Amino acid sequence: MNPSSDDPKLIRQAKRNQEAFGLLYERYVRRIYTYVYYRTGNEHEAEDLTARVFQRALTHLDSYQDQGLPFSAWLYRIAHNLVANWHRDHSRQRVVGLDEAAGHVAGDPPDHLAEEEEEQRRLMEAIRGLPEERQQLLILKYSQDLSNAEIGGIMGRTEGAIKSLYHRTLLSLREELGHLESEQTGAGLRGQGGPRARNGKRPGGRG
Amino acid sequence: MVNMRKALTTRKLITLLHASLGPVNPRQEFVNGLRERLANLPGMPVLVERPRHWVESAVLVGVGIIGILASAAAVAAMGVRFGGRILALDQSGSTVTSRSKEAKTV
Repeated sequence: MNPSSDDPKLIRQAKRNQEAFGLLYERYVRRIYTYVYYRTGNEHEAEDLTARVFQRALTHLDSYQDQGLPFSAWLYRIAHNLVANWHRDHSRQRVVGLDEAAGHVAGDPPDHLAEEEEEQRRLMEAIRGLPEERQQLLILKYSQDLSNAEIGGIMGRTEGAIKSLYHRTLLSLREELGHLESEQTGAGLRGQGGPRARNGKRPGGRG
Repeated sequence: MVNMRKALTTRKLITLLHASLGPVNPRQEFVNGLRERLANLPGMPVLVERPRHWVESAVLVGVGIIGILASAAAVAAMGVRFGGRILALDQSGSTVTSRSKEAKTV
């Protein structure tokens, strides 16, 4: 996360001075966008929700209090709440990821690239099948490069709890990938071909 | 053997996670557009500072002075009218009092 040492100063200034919030915005817009993008899997939704995160941050900046956590943790929490609401509203719709959609228009890649793409697509599908907090953990860890302690600060848990959750998440992810692979192999053997449409929910064993 | 295969799988999974969840760059137009939108939120601080032209300042000062003069004139006019009405009431009041005294005497 590289917590910027001048964040508290900028926040104090941003409550009075217009340009300081602009600097905070420039500093965090890409990270928040990346986080929201992976949580929604959709570029348009990522843009819309990122905009809402910063609008909310700006309107509530006066009530922001430094509680020892980096400013980005506050932004991630806003983003998390908005994404959770978004998922609640769109729970019955299947979201087609941008990477998935891009794969259809990109033409036929070479075999080894196609294999990698397929592997990544399957991984993303498996991640989206995980419970919300596990998705959040993986995205914060890998796309934002945060430590367990920093993730704990954002998710309101201890470092140990995050470490434990991370190990359980890896295990269930591997299991989920195995399920997907066997499903696809089975489908291929039956001559149906193509990935089976999943609604992102798997009965039992979650949480 | 099983443990070794598990360890390798976990390592591969972590590599795959790193490769799949890399940073994503938003469109530059979106970043710029959002900055503008935030700057134009009503009642919010202005993120993009725009220097005011001197003509704009002169017009604003002129309008201000005219406003002050107009309100001063309006207050003066109201004062004159109000004062006149009080005087008129006072005079009519004293006439009524003298008439009632006359009636009592009769």
